[in-house]
Amino acid sequence: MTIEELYDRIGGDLEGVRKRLPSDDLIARFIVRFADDESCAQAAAAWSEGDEASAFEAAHKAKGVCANLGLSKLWNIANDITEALRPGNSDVRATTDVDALVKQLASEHASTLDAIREFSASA
Amino acid sequence: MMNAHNDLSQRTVRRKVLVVEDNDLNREMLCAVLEQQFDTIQAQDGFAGLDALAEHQAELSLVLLDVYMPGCDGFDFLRSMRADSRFDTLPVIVATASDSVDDELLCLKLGANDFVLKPYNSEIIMNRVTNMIRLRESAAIVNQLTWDETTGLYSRELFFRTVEDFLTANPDGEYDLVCSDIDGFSVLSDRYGSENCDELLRELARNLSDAIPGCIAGGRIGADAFAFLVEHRQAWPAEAPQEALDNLPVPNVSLKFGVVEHVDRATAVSIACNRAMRALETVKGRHGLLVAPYDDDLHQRQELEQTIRETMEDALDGLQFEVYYQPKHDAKTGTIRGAEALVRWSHPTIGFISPGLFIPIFERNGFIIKLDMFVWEEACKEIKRCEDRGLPTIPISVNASRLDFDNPDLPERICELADRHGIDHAFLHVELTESAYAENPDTVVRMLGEMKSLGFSTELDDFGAGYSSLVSLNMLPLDIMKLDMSMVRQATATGDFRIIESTIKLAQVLGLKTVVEGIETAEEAQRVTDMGCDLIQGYYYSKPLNRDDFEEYLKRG
Repeated sequence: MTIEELYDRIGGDLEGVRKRLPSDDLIARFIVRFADDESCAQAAAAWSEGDEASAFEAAHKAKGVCANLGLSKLWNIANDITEALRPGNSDVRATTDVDALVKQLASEHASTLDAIREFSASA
Repeated sequence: MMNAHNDLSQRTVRRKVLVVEDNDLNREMLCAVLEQQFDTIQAQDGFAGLDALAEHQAELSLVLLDVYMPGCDGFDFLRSMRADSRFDTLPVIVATASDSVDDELLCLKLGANDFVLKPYNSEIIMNRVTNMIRLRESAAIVNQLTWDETTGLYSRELFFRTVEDFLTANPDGEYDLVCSDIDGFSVLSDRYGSENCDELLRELARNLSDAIPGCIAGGRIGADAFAFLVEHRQAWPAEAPQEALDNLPVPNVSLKFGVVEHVDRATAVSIACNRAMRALETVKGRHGLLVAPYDDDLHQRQELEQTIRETMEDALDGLQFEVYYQPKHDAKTGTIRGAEALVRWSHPTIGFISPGLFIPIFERNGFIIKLDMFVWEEACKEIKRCEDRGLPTIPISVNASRLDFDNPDLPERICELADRHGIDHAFLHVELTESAYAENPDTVVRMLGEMKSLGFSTELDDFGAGYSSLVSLNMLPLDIMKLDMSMVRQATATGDFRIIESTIKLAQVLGLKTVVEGIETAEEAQRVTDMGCDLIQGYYYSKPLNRDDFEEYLKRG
């Protein structure tokens, strides 16, 4: 699997990442490292434990990592969670189904990791 | 102390950037970008960041800081870092999300230098980091100049700051500021070379620091200018001790000193230095190690000079300048034969300003050309008025300054002026001093010749004052010689009129008419008349008169 095919499959913005990182090799290296990044899992865990503050921090972090790696689909979900849980955003929170978003985040995260593992194995 | 600064020209090594960010992936990606050009040190939160700061302080060029981190976040990091003076000059770039304007403002307040937006853009980050490091390093170069390498004294800016700090820290002390500079330093430097002159500056700085009693701090405030803050001294001697000139690598050095006593804490040190330098200017060009105080007289004179320079244009537009006319009378018959136009300045706030004060300033700054033109025009108008009113029409002479002769169109301009006012050229005389001639003899001779051929008479002013040259008498196309009033003053004081008599004879031999200026008594008038003088100007007949009085004077005949 090429890096282009990977980004195609996970709904990512490869061109955006190419502006951020100096080479495709580095992109490949860091996208593989994304498998070790715990921010998405932490967000889901904190939410299930009812720790909204930690869930916000983790989602915010996940959003940052996804932005850097151009993981647009995941970024969108993480962003929605961040905005819903951001202190002071109770109006957004009221109209957002955070449970559903967190589930969505977990499943999207899982399928992204699947694709990345396949990419990693083919490299 | 000077060696403590890094020699940037030798710093070709890669600069080191501290990256403080808690998310491993983000931090490593950032470092991957930076490592294209920089070495990086990583810290996973604010605490680790502060530890890394302390450990790597000397080698760090910049900090790239994330805001949200568990434990010690970016704000805490900035607070701690900026409280520590060791990191004063280490720049911090904060990475923030585009949605956090408040964070940016707070970071700025806490001492961040710049921002980059997340997600990171490789090119933007590299540019920001490179520019910030470059900016800081140029500032460091400037800071390097805090000590003058040649003399070991403070540099100008640091001297000012040091003295200000000292004065603040010692609020009850009385201090004087001494400035000195070397006469004709550029000539010395030309003759003996810059190495010898650097050595000269070094020795002088050392000598002066030792020779000036109670010296607290010394600075090199100009190429050849030193300044010293010293404990106040009751009476400064008029001359500095010769030891100041011991062991100099260059012969015949002459130093001048200006002193501002009781340095005023409300006045910037730079201004006090300027004042001391201005006091020093008053003894420049004289021989010896002279010391000049900056006192109220000098202060007031310089304030006045400044006011003159600042208000002269408005004064001319606002008709503050007024032309007065001092009559010249026939020595034998007493009939009025002419008048000299003299300019007076009535300043709205200062009052009467002596021409002796403002003319030299205008001669230096060139304004004299405008003012002379104004006087020419006023004289033309006055001649016309006298004609129109049926008053006796007499020639009026106008002073031309040395600078007027820089303009080759002068004869033409005066001609045009006279014609515009319908004045017979014979009624306008030009008076020039020998100093005008001395500067540029050929031009002055030619232009004066032109004026004569256009019908204007020419008068040599102030003959016998200063350095009169007999050669100039022979060269200049003149009609009239005016004997300076100082000749009459001296003759009356000594009872010896022989010089006046022979000067009049000399003028007669050369075919020149004579005017004796400064005649105040009947006896003086009689003596110079007996000697063959043609015209008399002075208080014996009349002081300079304003226009109305002058016309009244003419009416009386």
